[in-house]
Amino acid sequence: MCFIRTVLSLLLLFLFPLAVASGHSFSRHEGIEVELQRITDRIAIRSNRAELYLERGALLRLSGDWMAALGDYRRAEKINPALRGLDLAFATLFCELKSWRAAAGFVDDHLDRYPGDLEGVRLRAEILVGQRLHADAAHVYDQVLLLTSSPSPELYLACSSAHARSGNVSGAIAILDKALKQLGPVPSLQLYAIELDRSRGSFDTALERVATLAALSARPERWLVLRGEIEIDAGRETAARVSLEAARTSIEQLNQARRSTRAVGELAGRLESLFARLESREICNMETTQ
Amino acid sequence: MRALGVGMGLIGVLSVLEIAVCAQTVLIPVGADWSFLDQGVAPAADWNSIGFDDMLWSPGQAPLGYGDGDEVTVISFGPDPDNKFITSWFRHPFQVADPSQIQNLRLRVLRDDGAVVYLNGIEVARSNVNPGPITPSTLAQSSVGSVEEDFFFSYDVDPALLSVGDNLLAVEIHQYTGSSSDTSLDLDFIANVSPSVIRGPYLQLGSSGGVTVCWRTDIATDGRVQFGSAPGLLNQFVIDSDEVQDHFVRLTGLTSETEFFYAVGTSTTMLAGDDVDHSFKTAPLPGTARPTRVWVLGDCGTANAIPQAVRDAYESVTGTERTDLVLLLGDNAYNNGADGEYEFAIFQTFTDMLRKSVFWSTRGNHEKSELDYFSIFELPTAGEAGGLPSGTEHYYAFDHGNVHFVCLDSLSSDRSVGGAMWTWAEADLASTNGEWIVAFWHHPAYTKGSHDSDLELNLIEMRTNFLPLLESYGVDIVLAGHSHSYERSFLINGHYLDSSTWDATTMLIDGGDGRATGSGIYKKPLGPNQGTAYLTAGCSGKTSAAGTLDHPAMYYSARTLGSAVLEFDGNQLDVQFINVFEEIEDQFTLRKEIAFEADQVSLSLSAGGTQTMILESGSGRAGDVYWVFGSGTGTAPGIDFGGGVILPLNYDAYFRLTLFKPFVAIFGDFLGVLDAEGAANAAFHLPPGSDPAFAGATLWHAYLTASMIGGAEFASNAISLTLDP
Repeated sequence: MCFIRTVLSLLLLFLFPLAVASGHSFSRHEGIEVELQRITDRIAIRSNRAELYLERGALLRLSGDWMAALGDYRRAEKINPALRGLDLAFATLFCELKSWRAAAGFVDDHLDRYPGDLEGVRLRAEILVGQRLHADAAHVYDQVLLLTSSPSPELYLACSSAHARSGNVSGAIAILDKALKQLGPVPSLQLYAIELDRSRGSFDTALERVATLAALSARPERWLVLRGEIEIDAGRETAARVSLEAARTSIEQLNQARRSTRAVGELAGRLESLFARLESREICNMETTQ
Repeated sequence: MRALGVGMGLIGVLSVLEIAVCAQTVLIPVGADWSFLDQGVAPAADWNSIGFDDMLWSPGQAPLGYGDGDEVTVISFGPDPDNKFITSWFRHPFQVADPSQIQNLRLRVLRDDGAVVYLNGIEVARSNVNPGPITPSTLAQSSVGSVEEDFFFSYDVDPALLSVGDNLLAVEIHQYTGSSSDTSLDLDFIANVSPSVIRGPYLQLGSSGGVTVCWRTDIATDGRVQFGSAPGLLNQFVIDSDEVQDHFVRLTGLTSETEFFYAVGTSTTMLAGDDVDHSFKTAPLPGTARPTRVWVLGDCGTANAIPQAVRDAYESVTGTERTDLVLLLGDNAYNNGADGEYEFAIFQTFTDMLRKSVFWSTRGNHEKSELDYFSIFELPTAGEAGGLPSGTEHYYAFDHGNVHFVCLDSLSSDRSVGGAMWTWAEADLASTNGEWIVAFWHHPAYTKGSHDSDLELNLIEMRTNFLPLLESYGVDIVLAGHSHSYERSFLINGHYLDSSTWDATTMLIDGGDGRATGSGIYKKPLGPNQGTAYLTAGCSGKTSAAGTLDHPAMYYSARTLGSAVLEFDGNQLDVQFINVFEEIEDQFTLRKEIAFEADQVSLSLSAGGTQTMILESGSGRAGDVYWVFGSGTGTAPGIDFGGGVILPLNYDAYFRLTLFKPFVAIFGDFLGVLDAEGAANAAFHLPPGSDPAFAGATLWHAYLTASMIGGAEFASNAISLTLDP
């Protein structure tokens, strides 16, 4: 393992210039400088404290100084190879460099020592996504959800997305429904569920979800446009026209301050595009009938 | 709850017995005698148990320690003052004849820097020491500042841990660093304590129909909030029967815009409140325009004289009028945002304001303890105070009258376009009817203070990913902290990349000072991309010498301590920055251009009167003809004149009157020409003694403008006039 880590560290030396070239820059600012100095002062007194190097390395990583962060992690490793959190620190750093294989090695080491550790499992799931191993990622994200007492919308979305990308759209939707039951009608979850429903032709379910969002809103036009869009996808041209007309009326009835914003202007543009799409559909249908 | 006996006589007797049995008992007083070990060598593992032989330990009276000059017993730190012993150990035995008579136990510890406390070998409290295994080299979580040095931290201890007869309380004190200048220990340990409020009360999650009242007691109790229209008239109450120390009691079903006085306590005893200092006022209904005052504090968490001075300056300048709500821009309690740090930085600094105004917070980078932060604040997740549900307290929205507030998380949530926070924000902005939109978070989009918005990832991503979204929905003002200085922008739009891409020709909407007494207030006419003001104000606790303070988007930048005040009134927002010297160091006004407004909304049929109407279409319509029309049946669906011009009136009998008879006496200047500013005045004259049959009717007016060649070009908003008896 020590040899592998050395190899991976050398790998980092090659990756680091690439990372810098990609536009990531150091962002040491006064706050971080003060904290770095504070820890450095402590290290000066207690140079055999591995956790201090770990703490400083984390700050260096946050400021983008990966080489220095790696150096501190290596020092911590030399003093106490079994220091809790060190493997995760290495893994996180390699994740930021998108060096997934290296990251995976460290996170596996961490989970060997601390099976079921939430942070480690979560990081493993992220690494698997980075490696495009979506089915495996989905499985690991399932574990993360079980381990997390109050999953956030972000976590549910990540889990759902992993399932969807692995081809398990039903599973992805089930996770979102579970999240919606837990957290309420959160738009970020509901909108992704709508997207998935549309992808598999579950238009009625998608429309029910839109209705849920519309019911929460003081302004219906955005949801009416979405409803019309789904109804067009579903081949329900008559219903779509009703929805889009209602959206148009709703936009017209907005007070001028609201109506004149760029966002509403863009929505109105999208609405007109949908009308055009609807009309061409209707013409096609007429020609087909004839 | 103890059952009372039957009959009045027995009740009296039982009451006396109960008092005697449950009397408060000091098991260990402040200033007690302790045995201590100060040699830097760990004792045996059972040192914190009653059976351990501490004969070789030293005796001493509390407070014990060194370095402060107030110790009764000075303990040793070892031979090297730069490498002091990290841990010292302390023991105090005590007797309890009958633990079954003890209903509660309160421990109060004065510790410098951190402490772990054991009762009969079981850990019962840990103060300023990280969770996890404890060794003699375990460091305290943070260094204790001067304010904390004299503070006793309270803990509720389970009486079931007591033994009959001999008991032992043991403490280990841990330093933050081997070069620490001082250490201290004192404590008291009391049984059958009458509960008292040790934090708050403070208000959270305010809305038009409710509020959450929060407080902490020194021992676990149930909780009750009594409330009513005046002190002494608290005739309503809500009880939470959970026995806890941190109480969060939600009051719902309240009338909007109403002041309530309140008290907190147990289900049987009032502990605090029922006076003029404990009151709150519910918010106006969403969409209702009311004068609203917002106090903004950025990075105020230094827990020293500075935020106190900022507070005093604000109160001195703004007077006794109620502050409707307070925004905390993050870094509210240095250095880690731990609960103990919040105690001093927020609860002891803003005690009075916390009782009367709801504090809304966003998380800063020094709010390192997520657990502590979300244990202190109760923030909406399900749209409880307006806006769409976010599913998380990290980001949320709320309404206060006609102002919609959006709080984003620049620290830990996914900041990417299309991520959960972005998607929620987009949906929320699309759903609000708030006339004003205020966004706030910690890491500023624009700064050249102690942080550089060109270089730091959080700042870059908030600017690049969220400003286009917010500006597309017409956000009016964005507030942030993080940089320890004050920076206030011009009225700008569309600056999303780094500062070198600033282009005043396209991004500067108004390059003036925004002052009525200066180059003129910022006016935000109808239409897209009309500008946003940005405030970076992380200067309520400290300033920094770092940074060039020369961001091109900023009108004013200064290393100055203070806080900001936002005053919303109808279509106008006044912003002031009050420094610690009670000076208004900066100010500007932002006014939303409403094309048509009136001086009053109703007239009396019997008394008569005049509604004066003000037309403001902007100087671009100077010289255009205007025509004021009316409707008695409402503003929808309106009349479409083509070319996107829709007059928000219905074609009815009253409309025809204004169309065909614009010069009748009741219509004053309903038809005319706009002046060089695109403005004019009109009036509706209601004669006295008008027909009372019209009582309750509402008339709507709006106007069209037309150029000589272009036809109808602009339709105003509609204004209303209610006819009272």
